[in-house]
Amino acid sequence: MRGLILAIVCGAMILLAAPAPASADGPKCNRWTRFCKIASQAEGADAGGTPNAPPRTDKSHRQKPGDRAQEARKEFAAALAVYDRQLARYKRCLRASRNAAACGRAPESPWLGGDSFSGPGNRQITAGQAAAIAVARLQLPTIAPGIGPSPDLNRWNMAAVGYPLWLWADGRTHVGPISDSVGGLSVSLDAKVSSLAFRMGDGHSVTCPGVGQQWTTTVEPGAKSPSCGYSYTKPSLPNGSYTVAAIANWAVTWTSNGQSGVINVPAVDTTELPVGELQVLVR
Amino acid sequence: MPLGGRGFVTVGAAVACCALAAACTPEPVPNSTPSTSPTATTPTESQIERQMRLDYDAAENAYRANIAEQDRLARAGGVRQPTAALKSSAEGEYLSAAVTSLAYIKKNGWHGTGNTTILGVAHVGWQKKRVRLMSCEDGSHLRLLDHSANDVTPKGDSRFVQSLSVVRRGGRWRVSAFESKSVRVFEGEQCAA
Repeated sequence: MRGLILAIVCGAMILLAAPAPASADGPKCNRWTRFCKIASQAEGADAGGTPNAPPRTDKSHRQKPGDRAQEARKEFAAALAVYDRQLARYKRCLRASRNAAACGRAPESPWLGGDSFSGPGNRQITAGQAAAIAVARLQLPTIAPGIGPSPDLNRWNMAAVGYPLWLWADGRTHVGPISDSVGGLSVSLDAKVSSLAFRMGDGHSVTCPGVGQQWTTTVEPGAKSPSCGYSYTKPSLPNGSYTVAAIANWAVTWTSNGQSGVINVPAVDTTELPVGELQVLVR
Repeated sequence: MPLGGRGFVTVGAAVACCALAAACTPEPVPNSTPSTSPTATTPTESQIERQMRLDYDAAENAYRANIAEQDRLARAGGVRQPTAALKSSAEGEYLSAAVTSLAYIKKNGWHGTGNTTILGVAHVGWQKKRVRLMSCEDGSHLRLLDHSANDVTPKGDSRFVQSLSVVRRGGRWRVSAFESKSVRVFEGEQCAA
């Protein structure tokens, strides 16, 4: 809730500080008749108008642009300080808690929300900064750990020690291309999962060269994954389940203002996997 | 059969935000290498960049077509109502202002001579359905004449840097809003390049 309020307040401030778009009450001049009007005059004005009438501005209801910008900068700096504190608190929670969901949503940056129409006047940030802001806004989809065959498929509802499990990224692994406009700069983004790693919960890790290959029921029983797999050597049962973490790395390629780069965005998801031993009786 | 969905957290947004603040150091995530590695390159045109180019071109064409139609109508003695050609490439306050000027010419029984010179159009802002252009319009060669061919051109500035919003509706680009800056010369203006 506080993040939402912050975003709204900051968005309003950014809009306030931003240069006016072309539809604002600036002078509007015609090269044929050579008269200029402001928008309020143009609306419903007599067709003849007043040639060469100077643009009218109602200064009594306006602050000077410089004052407005300074005030907005102060408020923005204050909002940024609040955001820094919230972010630090959020990071402490992530470090301390095994269940990251308990930490709630990451605080929203004052940069988020309320970007103005892009234009040259508000080009005060670099292409790299604009890209970082655009990436922060990017809503990357969740990547659940895909593990197969699922323990739900057998009568014991568990994975078996020694049985080859297939591992893959379950979900969209490509987003884009999309574009965003930040501080007057247009940013193109294209996000792909560049690497995938699993912490298997038993102390071992598996790094996949790609996004893995999904297990299906057509896979020959006992066949190993051609790209990413794992076989447990010890059971988790009867002491519970292994917590399997999938760590995906989103490589977000950005282009803006003739520059380009890659920002890596890690995403983590976990699941519980019961692993037991199957005894075979040979007579 | 996928597992998961429980306990999901995306720390990416926080990490990306951290890139903005020098005091904020992202926590390293095991088995990954979060980093920002901007490199100045000559990128190939992406799908979005291609779309931007096409949109800019279409918007600029709409603007130039509208200017040409305004000039034609001014030379023809003005109009009281917008023509179909005017409406096909302009709307809103931009169209209203154009018609206001053309109606003023019509009301006084004048007609124009000359063509507007567009020294250049800069592409300065893009959104999915709206682009912003900056145009250097030189109307110094335009003249308004009365029935007796007397020069009745109003005194005043005739060179303007127009900041234009062009919007796409129903597949067509139309000049929608504008702001003007009067200049003596165009040197140094973005649209004069």
